[in-house]
Amino acid sequence: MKATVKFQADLASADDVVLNALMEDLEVRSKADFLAKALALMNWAVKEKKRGHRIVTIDEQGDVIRELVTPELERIAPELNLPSVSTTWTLEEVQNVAALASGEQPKPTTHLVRAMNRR
Amino acid sequence: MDFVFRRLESGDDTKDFDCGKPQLNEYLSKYARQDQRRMFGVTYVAVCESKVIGYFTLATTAIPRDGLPEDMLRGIPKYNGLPAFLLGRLAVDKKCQGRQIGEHLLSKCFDYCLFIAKWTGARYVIADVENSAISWYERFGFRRIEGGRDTAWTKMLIDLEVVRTAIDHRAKSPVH
Repeated sequence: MKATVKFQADLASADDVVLNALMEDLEVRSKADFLAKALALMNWAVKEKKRGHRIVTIDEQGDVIRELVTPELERIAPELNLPSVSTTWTLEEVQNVAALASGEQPKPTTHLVRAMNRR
Repeated sequence: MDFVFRRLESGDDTKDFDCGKPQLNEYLSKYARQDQRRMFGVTYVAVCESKVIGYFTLATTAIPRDGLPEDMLRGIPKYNGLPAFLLGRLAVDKKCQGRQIGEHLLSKCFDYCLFIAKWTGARYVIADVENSAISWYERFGFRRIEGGRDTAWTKMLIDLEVVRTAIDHRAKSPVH
């Protein structure tokens, strides 16, 4: 038998209505079972954010409808751990970086818009 | 074509990967895991039916201070260069070329950079590009950084703000 932990939670009555409606929709019989499923879902969302992924809804054509953004999930730092490497630069290259960066910002190309839109 | 993106893992099948550039094939099969272990760069792969069909390597780097105007260096510690991302290599297997896998890899790379930029403050992505591939990168808005010593490779740059604008462009598009 799995070890269990008991706890008590106060819930606003409006949230209790939502909770009961969700339990009915999901055909979940107990609040404990509901909590376990909600926990699994939140755990998945956190893992995805740690991988640097975004959580979105998409329609049947695969177009992004909405992105899930919450202050809590936005605090999750990705486990991307990029190393830092040094590269060789000539003075002319650095000056050209400055020139490119200080000029007028170019508009995104159609390929870039498509690339960032296709996910 | 269904594929998944993730970090390169030790058991990934890379031996048959052939993008048409021996140097890029050899890097993936021989050195990518080693570099990942030694923290010289992280390799992200597109995997289809257990085979790696495309990859890119990503690291952070710094553009030296000398030659940069003060306003670009505002807020950066005195001894540090301007933080940037380094897209070292990007390649797609010949069998999968022409299916926008490279475009998908690049968008994933930008996703990662935008996400990490929140913590590093890096604003630019520098790509080290073999000259024959320059026009491909230009299509996505990378611009050449002239003045390098290497005659076969060219550094290219894209501002992540431009990438962000591309995403905003999408967000403003009507949803049908």
